[in-house]
Amino acid sequence: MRLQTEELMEKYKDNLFAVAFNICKSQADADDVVQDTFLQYHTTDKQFESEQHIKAWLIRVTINKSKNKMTAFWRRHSDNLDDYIETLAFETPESENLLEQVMSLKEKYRIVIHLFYYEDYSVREISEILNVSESNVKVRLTRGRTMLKRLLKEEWNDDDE
Amino acid sequence: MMTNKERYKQAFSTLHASRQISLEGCKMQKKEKSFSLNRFAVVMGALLICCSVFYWSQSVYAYTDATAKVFLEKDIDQTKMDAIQAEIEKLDGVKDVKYISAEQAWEDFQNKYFSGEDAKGLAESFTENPLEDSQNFAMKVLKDADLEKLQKEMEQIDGVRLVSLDKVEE
Repeated sequence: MRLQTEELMEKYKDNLFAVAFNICKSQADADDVVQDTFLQYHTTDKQFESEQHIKAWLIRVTINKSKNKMTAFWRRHSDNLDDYIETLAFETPESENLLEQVMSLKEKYRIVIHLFYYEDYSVREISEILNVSESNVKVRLTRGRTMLKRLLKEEWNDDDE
Repeated sequence: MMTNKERYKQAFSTLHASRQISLEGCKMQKKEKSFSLNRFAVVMGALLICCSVFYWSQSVYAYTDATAKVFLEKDIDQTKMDAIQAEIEKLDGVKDVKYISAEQAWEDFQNKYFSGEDAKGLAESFTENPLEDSQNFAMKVLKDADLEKLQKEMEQIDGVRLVSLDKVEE
């Protein structure tokens, strides 16, 4: 199946932006990645099994493009992360602190944490998206949680999931 | 008491893509004020590819008056019809895909075959639309299209009952 690109943009551009931002740590780069991802979807003939399959594909492409952007030799200097975070409208100071602490983690922990907590993917699904083993995902998730617990203290519960 | 997921989602839901993200004409909005020559070259190359894809789809081909009709299965809902139309429009060699309802199909048939004085009464003898199952997508076909390939591709689309292609004699 295929869905119209415009419909997918409306539904998932913020999801993809959050994934791209998680890796790029730059609003401008994340916007570019999201644009490129939808352009790639628009120009591909690939067929999908379901909308969830499309979304997972979009996220995988976003991650790959974000990583490519980070390694490109012509990459612009990153926007100042702190300046950008100050422009965001958080509901509470704790929310802002949580985002800052997550963004301070290493990329391999950040992305697993994001796919688990924001996109509600399972360990198996995350391993398929990132193309790493499930045990690898579990290790990264555990270590990421441990770090967040140390950084956020009472603002982060012990996960029993 | 919020769960970790709820806290996380609350924090990261503040992130939003720029409103400038759009596919319209493959615009690549520049946000930074300056960029390196390499970046410029990459963007121009990407723009060229985007515009080539756009204008290729709009370019003037030698379309014939030949038409193809793709007849649909019964009881197809609007969502399915939209999906079928999208599939057909992606095929190489077709243009101007239009939906023809069963009512329109019957009206067209009458105009074509029951227009003479002798045939006037024939149409009136039908109390119901005899073409009620004949809703279809009609389209123009590229002169040099591979008709056999096109027919097979259309027949494989889920929801298609019958494909009719009219080859134009040279």
